[in-house]
Formats: sequence, structure tokens, C-alpha cells
Amino acid sequence: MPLSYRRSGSVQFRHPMHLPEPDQERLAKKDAAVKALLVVLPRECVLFSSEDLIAYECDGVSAYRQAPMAVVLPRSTDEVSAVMKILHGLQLPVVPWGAGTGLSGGALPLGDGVTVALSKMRQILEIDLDNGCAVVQPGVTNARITQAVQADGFYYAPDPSSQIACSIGGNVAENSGGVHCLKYGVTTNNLLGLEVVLADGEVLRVGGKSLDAPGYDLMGLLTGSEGLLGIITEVTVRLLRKPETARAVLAVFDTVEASGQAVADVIAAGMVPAGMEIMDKLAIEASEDYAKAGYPVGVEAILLIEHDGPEVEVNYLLERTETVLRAAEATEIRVSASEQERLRLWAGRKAAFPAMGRLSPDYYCMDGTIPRGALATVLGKIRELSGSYDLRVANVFHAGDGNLHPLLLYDGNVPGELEKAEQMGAEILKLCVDVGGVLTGEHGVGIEKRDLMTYQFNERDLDAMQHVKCSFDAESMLNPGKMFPVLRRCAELGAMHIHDGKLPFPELERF
Amino acid sequence: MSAEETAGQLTPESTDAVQACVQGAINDKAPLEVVGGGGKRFYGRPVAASSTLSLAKLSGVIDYQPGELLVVVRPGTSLAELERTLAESKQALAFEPPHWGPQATIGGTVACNLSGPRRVRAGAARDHLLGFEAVTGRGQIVRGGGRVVKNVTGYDLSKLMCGSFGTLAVLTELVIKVLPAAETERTVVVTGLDDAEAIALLILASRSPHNVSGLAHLPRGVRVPQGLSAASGSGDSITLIRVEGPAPSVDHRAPEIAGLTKRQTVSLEAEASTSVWSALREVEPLAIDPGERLWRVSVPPTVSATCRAALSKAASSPEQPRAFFDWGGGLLWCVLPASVAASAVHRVAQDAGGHARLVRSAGAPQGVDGDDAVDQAFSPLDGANRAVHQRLKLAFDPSSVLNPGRMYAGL
Repeated sequence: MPLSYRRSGSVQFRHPMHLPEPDQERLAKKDAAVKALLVVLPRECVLFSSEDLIAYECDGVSAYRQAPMAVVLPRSTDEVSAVMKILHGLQLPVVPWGAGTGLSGGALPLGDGVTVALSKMRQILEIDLDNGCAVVQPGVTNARITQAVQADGFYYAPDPSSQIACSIGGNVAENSGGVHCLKYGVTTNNLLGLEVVLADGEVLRVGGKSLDAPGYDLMGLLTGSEGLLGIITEVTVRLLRKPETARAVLAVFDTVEASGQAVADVIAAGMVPAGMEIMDKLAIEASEDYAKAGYPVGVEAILLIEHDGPEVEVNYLLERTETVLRAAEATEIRVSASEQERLRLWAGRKAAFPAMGRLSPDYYCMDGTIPRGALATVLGKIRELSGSYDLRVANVFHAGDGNLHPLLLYDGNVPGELEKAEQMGAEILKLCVDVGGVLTGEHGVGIEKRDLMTYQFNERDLDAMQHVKCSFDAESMLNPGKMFPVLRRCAELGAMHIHDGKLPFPELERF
Repeated sequence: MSAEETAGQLTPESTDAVQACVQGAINDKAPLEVVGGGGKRFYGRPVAASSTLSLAKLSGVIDYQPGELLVVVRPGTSLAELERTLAESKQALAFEPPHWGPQATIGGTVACNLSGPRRVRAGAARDHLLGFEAVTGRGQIVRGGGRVVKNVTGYDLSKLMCGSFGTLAVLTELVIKVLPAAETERTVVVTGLDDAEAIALLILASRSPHNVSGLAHLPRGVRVPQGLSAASGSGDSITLIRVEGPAPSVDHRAPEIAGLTKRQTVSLEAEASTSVWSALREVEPLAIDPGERLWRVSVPPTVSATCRAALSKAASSPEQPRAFFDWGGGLLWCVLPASVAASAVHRVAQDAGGHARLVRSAGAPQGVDGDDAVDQAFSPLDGANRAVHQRLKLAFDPSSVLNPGRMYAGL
């Protein structure tokens, strides 16, 4: 069956950050698109003048900008569906947009496409504590979910550092993490149901308030699909009872390697702390200068460990942790004795990213994950790369789950420095893959890591992912140019189009 | 159709050999029934296959790194053996999968996305499969996921593999997250509650900050696991709440849990507690007599008691279904006479906001013509879901050689 796919065959992108070239035929449809969209949406929900589009030129990766053809701001699932039907009819590609805080360029607009922003869908539809869940619209911020239930002693566990601003829809699209993933999991482990609008406007509901659903785990597949499979219009999140108490311990080490070993020792002792974070010398100095959390300056590494749960348990685990840390030759150990002290211990870590602004005009945040045991090797090689590229690197590490965030410091005003930082970043990510890790732990592939996908996956692995794409969006209308290094026609992959669950000749036992 | 009746059983010992089997099936247009140890054949719809592809000989632990909290295994590895290996390092599969017999393999467990009572706290199998290698129905060897906990590189294909009952690809290697085993456990037992009272107590416990890891209710009329008979001497219903963790924590939380009810409570200590939850995990409280079927109904906890009542109405008998509740009410295990139409069970489950699955039939071997439960073992999908499922099946297994029809007709 021929597919109306507008690009000719496979498209290989020329530059790491290149999107498909804007298509003149599509650009010419702008007036028709706006006119049709204004039939289903009020005037204030359709943006198409250049000054209105500026705010949507880039997401959290501000180095790459491109104005979309138009932005629509639907207010309901029905409106999203109506918008998608129109755009599908016009064969215009769509880029979903949550809060625009993503760190992989996943919401970078297409010049010949329409950005569908979910920021007007920000109602908390239902809080159901007896069933341990809340039903929310995609534009609700991560932090607002917790705010809505904290008076009752509940919270939503995944806590990306942008949680005040980032939207739950974006969290689902990126499968966002946070600092408590080892114990509480990432987004995909904290969802019960989703509603999404597919590329052709059809509404798909998966899961609900029960702990599993019939059929394939489409919810798991949609989570982390980076806006390439559907537009998330409703999310049922799992809520957890807030732990009775939490306490943190900060340990100082003479080498980063020793702090890594201490993490392994804590795990070997049978403990799963709520959080384990390592910062290296440069990260410590920067954050101390900025946040003044009282971190010891000049030391090589600090390890921050938090336990949460019933008070008796936390006290017991902290004692054991202290014993392990001493045996691991920590040179100094500080334990929080009050909630204020705990927050103070965390303040330095939470300030690590903004603090980089003091050290350098620009920084590039990497996001690879490595096996915990490879920490020493990887940090050693990052040091070498830092020398050979002549770029400073500060390291912040979610040590519990192996998620490394090297921050590459550069000056975007110096010609060539951005490219140098990108190159070095790519080398670091390849290194993560070399030691058995992955390109991205929580920020997503987006446009940033798209061209490195072939380093981690071979062609067959990527074909399998492309088969998923074709099963949801055969014409590649949703977020094309992201995640996959090569745009491929679904027809090339031997896919087949089925409309509305109806196969040609459904009565035949064809499978 | 059972393996004995078919011409061949293929038992590949390597990924390449699995690929050859699948390629052969594609070439010969001869579908395969894919099994691990073959111990869960009763679960799901019968497969019309020319031969059986058994992964029993593709087994063994490839790499176990306790410090990385992961184990890499081949699919045919015995679940019991794997659990023993992990226990030597004081670790465990936190999702507490049921075995349902000695043949249970890790591959079959993951393919069926099985998880036990600790599901409420630790997640299901799908939350613990970090990565995999598999041979798709196109005969291609693919890898998905990775060997680390935090990974968002591309689509999460591990989730698609989990619970797809071998209908998309044959798993040849699995990377599984493991966790430290609980130091100790205790179960608080309350007797004499009716369904509604019991579910209310379980919800109260699940809403408490006491990190409960097991929440079950056994109404009257089910087989009481050994170790509990003393507690329910008069045949009363039994409600159970488990806490796990370091001893000082368990010592603190168990009395707090007991304080949630005005009734008298009994405590089951370490091994007694373990053995009771293992019996629940294996669904031992429900015997299936000839002409009966075991159903698994997954619903929001608050409606599970009314859901059981609705099934009684469907069965036109207050004695039916014999049932018990796990997952704080979120999972209702029940035995119903075969005379109750599958569609009626699905309707009750779906009206309650959940879904049902036929797990096992007794006295009526699967494949009997006109048995609606065989056709509708799993709750039907709506149009949008069905379309996506069919496209995924076509994309991964276009010749339909892998477990065709195991979950749904045509899938």
C-alpha cells in the first residue's frame, strides 16, 4: 500500500543538529493551516505571527533555535484531536511542547511544522488517594502534583531538578528521572495510565487506576517516546505516602574513585538509599561559591547519601552507612540532625548547575549512564579529554543509578568553542557506551544525541524502534528529525497500514 | 494442542540457533509455539503451531554483578535456580514472581509480566527488565534497553517485550535489575472482617507511611495456607499485612499497622510470614475443581469488593466466586464455574475500570470448540488499542510465526 510520505526515501542528516530541510510545499500551506485551525480553536490559541513565535524557538537547549510555522494551544483532548486531524489532513508535521524545559532539543520546532503546546491543559482532574493516584492534564507541573497532595501526606516521587517548571506531559515524553530513582524509580515506574492523541487525531487510552492493563504495555512504550508516537493529553500518576522522615549524610573523600567505591560498599551492605550523589572538586567549588552550603572547599570529592522512611529505620541505616563510609576512608562525615541541616546539605548539590554560570559563560550538560563500577575509568578518561580539548569539566553524578552529568564549560562567544564542547561531549557519551553504559540517562535523545544512536545500537536495533514508530505514526508526522539518525519510510520497512483496528479482510486468520 | 501431539520440539542452545528456528518457521510458514519451561501453557489462548520452540536449553546466568544490582541471564534459566543464586548474595527479584510449578523460567516470567504480592511496593516484572536480546518474528537479532537502571536512549522496547507472551520476539537474553533481599519480615493478621471492611483496612495500611509490602484478604471458603490455620480456627476470613526491612524498622512498624484496627491481631514472624506469602503468590488458596476456571481480575482497589459481589451475581450464587484479594484489593483471584461466560467476567472487570484474564481451566482442556473463555481469555481491547496492537504484531512478526493467537485472535 503506497504511503503518502513526502520525503524521498531515506534522509541522512548532514550536521548533528540538522533537522529536515523546510519543505516549500509545506510552507505554502501556512495560511490554509491557520484558517482551518481557527475554525476549531479561538484566536488566542493559535499563534502565527513572528513575534508570537519567538517564545517557542527553542527548548532547554538554547543553542539551537528555529521558529515553527505556527503554535497552537489546545485546551482539551477534543481540541488536540481536532488539531491533529487538520494537520494530518494537510500533511504538516507536529512537534509537541510541554513546558519547553527539555535538555535534548526534543521540542525544537520545525520551520515547516506546527508546535502543539499543552500549556493550557493544566488542570488536576482528580485526586484519588484511596487508589493512590491522581489524574492530571499534561501541562500540570511536576511540583504542582506534589503540592496538591502534600497536605494529606502524599507526593509524586520522580523529581527532575526542573520540577518547578517542567510539565508532567513532558516528564512522560522524556521518561524523566531525578535524584531518588534508585529507590523510587523514574517516570515509567510511577504511572498507571495515559491518554494520548495519535498522529491522525485518534484518541488512545491505556491503563487506568489498576496496576496493569490488558494487552501489550503500550504505556511503557509511550513513556520516553519523546513526542514521536503521540501527544500526551492525560496522565494518571501513582502517588506515594511521604516518608516519615529523611536524613542525609555528607562524606568527604581524597579521590573521586574512593567516593565511587564507597557507593559500591553501601550497596554491597544491602542498603538502597533514597539518593546518592557525588560531586567533584570543581563542582564543589562552584556550588559553594554560589550557594554557600558550607561544603568543604579544596577536597577532591563529596558523597551525599540520603535515607528516608520511618525514623527508626532511617537512624538505623544512617548508623550503618557511617560505618561503611568510615571503612571506605572518608576523611570527614557530617550527618544531618534536623530538617534544616538536611536541606542545607542538599543546597550545594541543588545549586551545582546554576553555579556553573559563575565559572563560565556557557556550559554543556551531558547525561550518560554508566555501570557504577566504571566510574573511576570514566572519570579518568574525562580528565584526559578535558586536557586535550582544553575545556574544564565539573562532574555531578547520580551515583546510585550510575547517571553521570559532566558539565563542560565553554564560551559560546569564542568561535569554535561550542563545536569543541559538542565534540568533546560526543566523545564522553561514546565512552559511556564503551564501558557498558548508555547515551542518555534522563534527558532524552532528541536532536542532541540523535546522531550518536548508531554508536549504541546497530541497524537492526534501530529498525526495531522504527517499527514501533511506524506502528503509531506511519507517515512520520510526529516530531520528525528527533531520536532517529536517519528518517526512513515505513514502506521500506515492510510495514502495513491498518485503520481503526480494521485489517483488510478481518475475517481471515492471517496471522 | 500440546507438544506431545506435534511433530517436533525445537530446543536451540544459542541465539543463532533460535534465529535459525525462527527463519525456518518463516520460510516454511510454520508457526512456532514459543515456551520457556512450558510450565504456563495453561495461561492465555491455545496456540495453533506446527512445532514448539522451547528455550529450556538456552539457559544459565551469563553475568551476575551484585554491586551493580543486575543479573544477565538466558531465558531458559530456572526461576528457582536464579533465585537461589541471588539469595547467596542476599539479593532477590523484588517483584516476587510466582512460579506456578517447577518448570518456571525467568524468560517465561518476563514474557508473562508476572509479579507477586510485593507488586504494590516494588513494581512488576516490567519494572525490572533493564534490557534484552531477542529474535523478532522477522528473524532478526535485536537488542533493546541496556545494563543500567537509568536509560532513556530510544524507545523502551523492554516494556514491549514484558507481557507480550512471546508474540513479538523470542527473548534470548535478559538484563534484570535485582535488589537486596529484605533483612526480615513480619505479617500482621486480622480475622473476621468482611470484604468491605478488609479492603478498607488494606487501603488504610497502604495509605500509611509504614511501607507495607503485602496486603491481602482471604474471605471464608478458601483454602487457608499452612501456618494460618491456627489464626483462623473457626474458618473466619483472614486479612494480612506484611512489613519488611531491617529488624528495628519491622519492630517499629508492625505494631503501628496492628494499631490501625480495633480488632485483635496476631503476628507471623520471619519464616512463617515468608511461607504464607509464598502460598498466596502461588494462588494456593484456590483449588480449581473440574468445570471451574481461575480468573485474575485487576481493578482499582476501592472497587474490588463490589467487583467480587458483581461476579457473584454473574455466577448467580453467593458461594461463588471463591476468591481472595491481593495487592491491597487491586488483584482479585477468583474461581468461577465454566458456565459463567467469559464475556460476563470481562464486563464486570472493565466496568470496574480494570481487566480480567483467564489463567487456568480445569476439566476443560484448552482448545475445545465453542469454549468462549478460550476465545476471550483476556479482556477485549477497544478499537484504538486493537489497531496499535495489530500494527505492532505485523511490524515485529509479519509472518505471524511467534505464538500466534496466544493473547488475542489474530495477534
